[in-house]
Amino acid sequence: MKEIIYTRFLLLKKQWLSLICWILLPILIAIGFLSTAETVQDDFSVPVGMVLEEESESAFALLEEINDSSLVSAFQLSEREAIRKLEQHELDSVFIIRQGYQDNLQSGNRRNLLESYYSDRSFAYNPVKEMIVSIIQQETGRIKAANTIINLETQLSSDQNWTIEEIIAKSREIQIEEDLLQNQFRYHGDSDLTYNSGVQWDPWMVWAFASLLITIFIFDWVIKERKASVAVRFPFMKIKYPTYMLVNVLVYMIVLLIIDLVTAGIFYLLYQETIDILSLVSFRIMVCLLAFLLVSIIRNAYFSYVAAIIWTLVLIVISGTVLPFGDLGNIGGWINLFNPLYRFLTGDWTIGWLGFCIIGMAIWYVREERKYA
Amino acid sequence: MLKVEGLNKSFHKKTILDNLSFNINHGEIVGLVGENGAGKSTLLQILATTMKPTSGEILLGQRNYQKDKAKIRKQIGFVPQDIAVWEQLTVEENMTFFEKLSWIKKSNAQLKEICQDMNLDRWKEPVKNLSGGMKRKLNLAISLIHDPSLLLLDEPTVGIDLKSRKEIGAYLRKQATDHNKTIIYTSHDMDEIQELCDRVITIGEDSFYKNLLQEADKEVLSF
Ligand SMILES: Nc1ncnc2c1ncn2[C@@H]1O[C@H](COP(=O)(O)OP(=O)(O)OP(=O)(O)O)[C@@H](O)[C@H]1O
Ligand SMILES: [Mg+2]
Repeated sequence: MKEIIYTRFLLLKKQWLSLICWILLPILIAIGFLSTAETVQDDFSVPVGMVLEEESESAFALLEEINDSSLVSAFQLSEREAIRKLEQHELDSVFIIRQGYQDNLQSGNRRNLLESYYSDRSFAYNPVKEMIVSIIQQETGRIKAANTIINLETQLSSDQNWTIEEIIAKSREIQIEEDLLQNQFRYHGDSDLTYNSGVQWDPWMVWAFASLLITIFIFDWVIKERKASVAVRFPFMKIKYPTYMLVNVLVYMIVLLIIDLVTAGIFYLLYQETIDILSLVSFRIMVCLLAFLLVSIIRNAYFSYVAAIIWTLVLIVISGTVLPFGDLGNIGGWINLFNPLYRFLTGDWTIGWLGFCIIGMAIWYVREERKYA
Repeated sequence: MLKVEGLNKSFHKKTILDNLSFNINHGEIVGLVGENGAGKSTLLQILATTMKPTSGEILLGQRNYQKDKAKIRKQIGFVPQDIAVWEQLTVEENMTFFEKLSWIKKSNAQLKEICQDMNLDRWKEPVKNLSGGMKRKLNLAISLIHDPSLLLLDEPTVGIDLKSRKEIGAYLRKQATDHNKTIIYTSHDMDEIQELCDRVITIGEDSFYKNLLQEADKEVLSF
C-alpha cells in the first residue's frame, strides 16, 4: 500500500501543476458560472418608460418600487419621449401614472390609475404589467386595511386618533417584521421584494456536473497506464496490476475528497451554502468509481473525453436544471434512476449508484485477477 | 535448469512453434534466432509465463509452468522487445518505481549499482533525454531488480551503437559466469550471437541462420 502510494507520488510529481489545475477546475467553474449568471441577470433587465402625470408621493413610491426589482429598469420620461423610444424599441413598454393617482389610490378606486403602451415587440409587457399591478394592489390593500381600521375606530368612537399615514407606517413596520403582508402581495417570479435577486443558482449543482466531467478527465491516467509499455512488467512484480490500480483509485479518491472538503469551505464562505458531508463523500466515492469503470470500458482517452462531455450534457438536460422545462423531479421519476447525480442534487446520500459502482468494481477486479493469474 | 518438452503454439490454426524440445543449464547463454515472424517473441513470452502454449510441458528446476506459475514468475527477469520504462521519470525514479512494486527490497545504492555495472551513469536524467542505448540498458536494469535466475531478453541490443552493445554483452556474460544466471536472448546480429552465446536455437522455416551458424561452428539446435 505504502509502496504503491509512493509510486503514484513519483508519477504525479511530474505533473502536479496540471493536476492541481484540473482538480480545482470544478470549483472555478462553479464560481465562474455563478458570477456570470449574476451579471447576466443584472444586465438583463427590461427597460420600461414611466410617465408621471402627477408628481405625488405615491407616484414616486411606485416608480421607486418598480426600480427595486432586478427584472425592470424604469426610466422616468415625458410621454412624447417615452412613446418615441417605444417606437424605436428602446423601451419594452411605457406606463403612464395618471393624474389623480394618489387620490384614487387612497379612495380605493383602482380603475384608471395607469395607462400603458406596448408594441408588437414588447416581450416582457405582461410580466411587467403584472408586477406593477401587484405593487399597486399591495398599496391599495394597505390603504384599504387602514381605512377599515379607521372606520372601525370612528364606529367604536375610541379616543385614539390614528391618521391614515400612521396606520400605513404601522403596516409597513409589520410588513418588515413579519412576512405575512408581503407574502400576500408577492409578485410572482420576483420572490423576495426586499432582497431582489433573480434566480438563485446552487453552486453545488454546478459543481456536481463539473466534478463528474473533470473526474472522468482526470481518470484518463487509467487508460494511459494500461496502454503504457510498462504494463508488460506487472506479471513479474509482487504487486499485481489490479491491486496497483485499486490502490491508485483510492489515492485519487482521497486527494479529491480533501479538495471537496476545501470546496465545501469555499462555498460556505462565498455563498453561505452548507452541505451534508455524507452526501458529499458518498457522491465523491461514487463519481471516482464511475469514472474508473467508464475509462476501463472505453479504453481510449479521446473517446472517453467525448463520452464524458456528451454524458454530462445529457445529465444536465435530464436533470432539468438549466433548460426551462421544469425543476428537479418534474421529469418522470424513472429517468432519475439513470441519473447518478440525482441523489446528490436533491441533497441525499448517493446510495444506489454507489452500490452499483462497487459491484462494478468487484466484477472488474475478479476479471483482472483472472487475466493476470 | 529449464526443460522444454514437445512445445507447440498456434494462432488460429497457424502453427508458429512446432514441437520444440530442449534443455538449458545454469549459467548458460542461449541465443534464439530466426527471421521476422518466426516466433522468437512468442517463445520468450511462453517461457516468461505470459502466454500459454497450445501444448507441451515446461519445467523450471522442479517447478511446472502450469502449476507453479506464481513462483516461477518470481524467478524470471523479462526484458520486453519494446522499451518498457517511464519516459517522464528519471533513471533513478524508474528504478525506484519498480523496486517498490518488486519482490525484493533494494536500497538506492544497490539500484544505482545495477545501472553502473552496465555503464548507465546518468542517474538523475529523465529517460526522455537519454539515447537509445541508455534506454535499452535501463530496460534491462529494471528487469534485474528482483534478482531473477532466468533472464529472457527480447532483442536487448536492437538499434544501438556498437559500444553500448558490447557493454550490454559484457554485462550479460558476467551475469552468467559470475552469478550463474541462465540467459536466453534473441538478436538479429550474428556477430553478437557468435561472440556471446554458448549455444543457439534457430526457429522458423528458413534455414538461412542455421546454415550460417553451422558454418561458423556453433552448437545449433534447430526447430
Ligand atoms: N497474439 C497473436 N495472435 C495471432 N498471431 C500472433 C500473435 N502473436 C504473434 N502472432 C504471429 O506469430 C508469428 C510470430 O510472431 P513473433 O512476434 O513471435 O515473431 P518474432 O520472431 O519475434 O519476429 P520479430 O523478429 O519481428 O520480432 C507472427 O506471424 C505473428 O503475426
Ligand atoms: Mg519479436
